[in-house]
Amino acid sequence: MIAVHSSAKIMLRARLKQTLIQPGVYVAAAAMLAMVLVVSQSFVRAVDSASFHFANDPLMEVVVGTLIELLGVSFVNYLFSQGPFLFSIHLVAFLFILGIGAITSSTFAYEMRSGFVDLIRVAPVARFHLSISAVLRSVIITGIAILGVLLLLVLIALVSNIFLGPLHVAAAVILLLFSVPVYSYAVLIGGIGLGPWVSMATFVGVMAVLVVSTVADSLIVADGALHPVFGLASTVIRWISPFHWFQLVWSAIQRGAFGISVIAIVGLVALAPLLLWIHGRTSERWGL
Amino acid sequence: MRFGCRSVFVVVLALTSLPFIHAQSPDRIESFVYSIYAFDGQGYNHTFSPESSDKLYVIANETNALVPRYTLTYFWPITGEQQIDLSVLDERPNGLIEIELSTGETVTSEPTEFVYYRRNDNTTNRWTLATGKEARELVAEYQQEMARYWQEYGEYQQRTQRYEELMSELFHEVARRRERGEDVDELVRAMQKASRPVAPARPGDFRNPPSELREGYPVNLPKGVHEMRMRTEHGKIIEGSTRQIKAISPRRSGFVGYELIPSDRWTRRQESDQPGGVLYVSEDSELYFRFFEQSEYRDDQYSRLLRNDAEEIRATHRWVRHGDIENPRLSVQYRDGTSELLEQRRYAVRQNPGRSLGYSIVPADESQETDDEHNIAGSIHGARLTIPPGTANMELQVISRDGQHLPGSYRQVRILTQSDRLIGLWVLVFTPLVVFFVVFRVRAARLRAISDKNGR
Repeated sequence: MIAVHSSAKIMLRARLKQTLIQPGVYVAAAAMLAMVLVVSQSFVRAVDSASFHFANDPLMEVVVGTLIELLGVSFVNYLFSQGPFLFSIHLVAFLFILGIGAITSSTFAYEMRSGFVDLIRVAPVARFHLSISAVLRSVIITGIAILGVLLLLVLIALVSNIFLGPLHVAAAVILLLFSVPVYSYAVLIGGIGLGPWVSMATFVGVMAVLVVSTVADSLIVADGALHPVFGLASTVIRWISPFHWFQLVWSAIQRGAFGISVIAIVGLVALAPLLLWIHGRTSERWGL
Repeated sequence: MRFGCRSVFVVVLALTSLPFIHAQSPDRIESFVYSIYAFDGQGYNHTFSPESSDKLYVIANETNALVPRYTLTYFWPITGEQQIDLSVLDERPNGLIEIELSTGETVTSEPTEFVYYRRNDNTTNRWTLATGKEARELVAEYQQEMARYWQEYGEYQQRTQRYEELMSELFHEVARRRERGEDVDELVRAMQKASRPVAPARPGDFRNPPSELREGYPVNLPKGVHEMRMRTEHGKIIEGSTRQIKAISPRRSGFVGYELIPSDRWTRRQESDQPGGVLYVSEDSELYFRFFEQSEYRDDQYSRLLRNDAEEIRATHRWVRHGDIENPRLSVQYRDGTSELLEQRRYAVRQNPGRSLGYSIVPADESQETDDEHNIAGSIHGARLTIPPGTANMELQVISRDGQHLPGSYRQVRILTQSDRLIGLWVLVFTPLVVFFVVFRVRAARLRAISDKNGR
């Protein structure tokens, strides 16, 4: 038992070391920081004597205008009600998590295909540790990246006098928790025996379906005849969507229902063991 | 010959295109329609529910009015909306509206005359729907007031005309006497003594006067989805009159919203409706704040309350502004621990004299002393906050007449520094790339050491 436990640790360490020499992760982190800075600069330019007015800055006009078209003015008002940080932290974290998720899915599929898993199987390693080390590796990287973003936000707040409050820290924590089921999906998809590129594409497709199933019934563009179709699909699929639980958490926080937000966080995180259990069962049954 | 062929071709083309030239004239369908005069939080809104609509929306525990009628409905593709054509058919069925509440209880509503209005006093800043005798008396009261006002205004115009004539006569007389070298002091004194007539004030009893007197069925329902139909005098259900009526209530209510009016752009007003929001302003701003009650409704339900055939949009919520808060005071807390209380006052926006553009905002009483009404471009009723130089942050809260902090009224004001100060932070963006370079070099050195060792 101790051997199995320590082997999982060794695997996690090996995976982290492997990630350390992947330039894509560093480029992604740099892009995150750059995006945060660009959004903050745009926001500052859009402020005049009568508070934030997105039409004052071309980038803000495009970004906020698109968001209003998609999600409605009230949601966008909430997103920018304390400044640009809530928007920018969500923007960069979503892109980063989905990007790392795609890479995780692809590398896990490669490991399965290249026989790396077979080699490990001769060692006393549980199948669960194999997948959880892949998930944890991505979560740790995401945690470091989000921490980096938070540090940059602190500096921007000090320089520009933009408000950084408990809501932003809560957003960072919730985004990190959100990444756990997303990476579990990545491992589940990577472990079904597809090629690395196909796994990556499948992960992106699955995430797109889960996003649409969550926001379909609130999308202004999905009105008219298409709306009942979106609504029905959404009702069925959203319960296995991390985006849906994530939305529930925020909806509860928005109206101050902290009990419900805790339940929604539990639901969000509980998706991860469920997905990893499905991964274990399917790979055992299919002999993968 | 070639020209002839072309002419024939053009004529044929013109003739073949004739059947496709038509006007936009959609088909009209006779339908049983409920005209809905629904309270929307800000006033009474009119929409209608044709037979094709299965549900209509009202705010719970507010009095609304329904007017059932047979009329023509049609879809107007240009705006994408259902319309009614009352000019051709407007027939009112007789009977009772019967509503089976979600609790199982049944209530009925009888036809009566109704009006909606808002009084201009500080105690009831609310819309009211009056019915029956009260409605008729209100309309009569308002008509009497307006008749009296127009009579006084007519007299005022006559007095003004006499005044203008007198002044003109005196002016010309002064000019004539000056030409003859005679003394004009007496005439000048008479000109100074003559006072310009003052216009009568409009009747001030109503902030919003009573609406047109209509006949309808008042309904006031508890929250829930209720079944509604109309029965004839003989108890038979009228075909096409069955609907669901959804009485909605806000997710959050009793919160305070802000309206911001910057002194340098007084026509561009902004709203802050998110409780706990932060207002970012530039340095040296002068702001006027107004405060209003607001409630948060589901977007789809509220949209359908305003327009019954609005496209359904779910999940999002919107803040709906109600009436102004009575006698509010704005508590401003500065970073150094000092605070001040600001009262709402009336200000007048005074145009600069002459042709040059520009305006100044002055307290309304001072403005009356110096200006006639032509120089006043508008008015502001709000609490004025001048941001002191060097201030970085402030905290705002609205305090009621009895000294209570109003819920959802907390806001922060932050003065932003310019975006060029953020340029220095771009150095940090390259940090991950530097880390990668260091890691890569260390790993490469380690690998080289291992391969050297193996080679040896």
